[in-house]
Amino acid sequence: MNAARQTVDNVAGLSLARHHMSLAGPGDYYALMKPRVMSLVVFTAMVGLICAPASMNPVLAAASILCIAAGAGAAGALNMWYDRDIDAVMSRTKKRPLPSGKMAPSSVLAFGIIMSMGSVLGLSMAANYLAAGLLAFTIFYYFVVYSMWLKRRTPQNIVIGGAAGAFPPMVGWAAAGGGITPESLVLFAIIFLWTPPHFWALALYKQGDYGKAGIPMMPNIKGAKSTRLQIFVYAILLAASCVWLAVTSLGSPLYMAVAGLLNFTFIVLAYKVWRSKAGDDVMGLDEASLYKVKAGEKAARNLFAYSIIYLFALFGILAASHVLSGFGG
Amino acid sequence: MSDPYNSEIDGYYTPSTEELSARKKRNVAIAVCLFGFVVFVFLLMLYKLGVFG
Repeated sequence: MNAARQTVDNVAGLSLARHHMSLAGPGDYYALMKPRVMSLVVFTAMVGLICAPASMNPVLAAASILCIAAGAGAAGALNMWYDRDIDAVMSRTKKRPLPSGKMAPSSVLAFGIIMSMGSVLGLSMAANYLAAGLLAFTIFYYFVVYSMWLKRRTPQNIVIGGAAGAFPPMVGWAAAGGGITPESLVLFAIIFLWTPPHFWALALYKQGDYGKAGIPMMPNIKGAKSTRLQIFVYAILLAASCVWLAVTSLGSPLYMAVAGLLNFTFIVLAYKVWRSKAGDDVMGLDEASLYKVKAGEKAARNLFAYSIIYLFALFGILAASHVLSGFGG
Repeated sequence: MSDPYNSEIDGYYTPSTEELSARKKRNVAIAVCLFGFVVFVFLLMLYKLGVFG
């Protein structure tokens, strides 16, 4: 165990071991499940479930979504257990229940494991073994492949690890009985290609935080200029994957119109980030250059905020056009 | 060397009101979750058996 993780354990231990009572409430356990990430997972899984060619009983569909949400929450809790040392260092994460000493690491680990098993078991009953297997693999991928292996080793961490966040629509699609098809693979590809520009935009103006924690994010390792170019390249690839989806059974005139507009805006914002000075080293800069860096960081913030709206809107229009086509035909 | 299994307990810790309240909330949450899980499995079983048509 590394020294930083031992320190966090000691902080939790000092506040809990004396009398084995914690002040953590249900809200703290809810916070362990990363509710904001969970909302995105639930939404994309729901869209996968709605768009799948097979129909599903609404009660079983709701139960499946509940299990997918619980599985996402379990993965979040396991990630917080493993990352408690670096969470204590970063300003964005230091108030989380573990680094703040509200609960013991063993409680969080047990919570994550029990939730993982319950969610996979529940999905196998509510839907099918394929969906449950995909959910189990997603939890494993996020916890072991991303958190344990990639996050601290390579600047490609969120590129490869992004697959964990891309699985939920596939899980939803499989839960409805659609199996694994080209359509579900394109849904996977869209989130997979969306993840790098989304996280690197954040990393451009938060790289100090990541650097302090020793996480090799792209701006810290390859530099801000290379990261900005890669953001733009991924924005183009993302648009291409949306065109790919248009030629599958999920494509519709409404989808193509909205996706075209959404991707055009995404590319424009990514272009602005590419041409900006976001994330450049501010040491020794004159006032004019410093202003350019600050303006660039605003462009990165805009892209980060827009990328969240983009994903919700894109998946929302997919579900809407599918439902509307059902009414029409 | 003292025997840890036969040594006298030298005092009891009295939990504070906040600690007791937090523990009660956790216990209620665990009870609700367990009950919810049991109902969830039971309803799924009924659906799979086709009880609801």
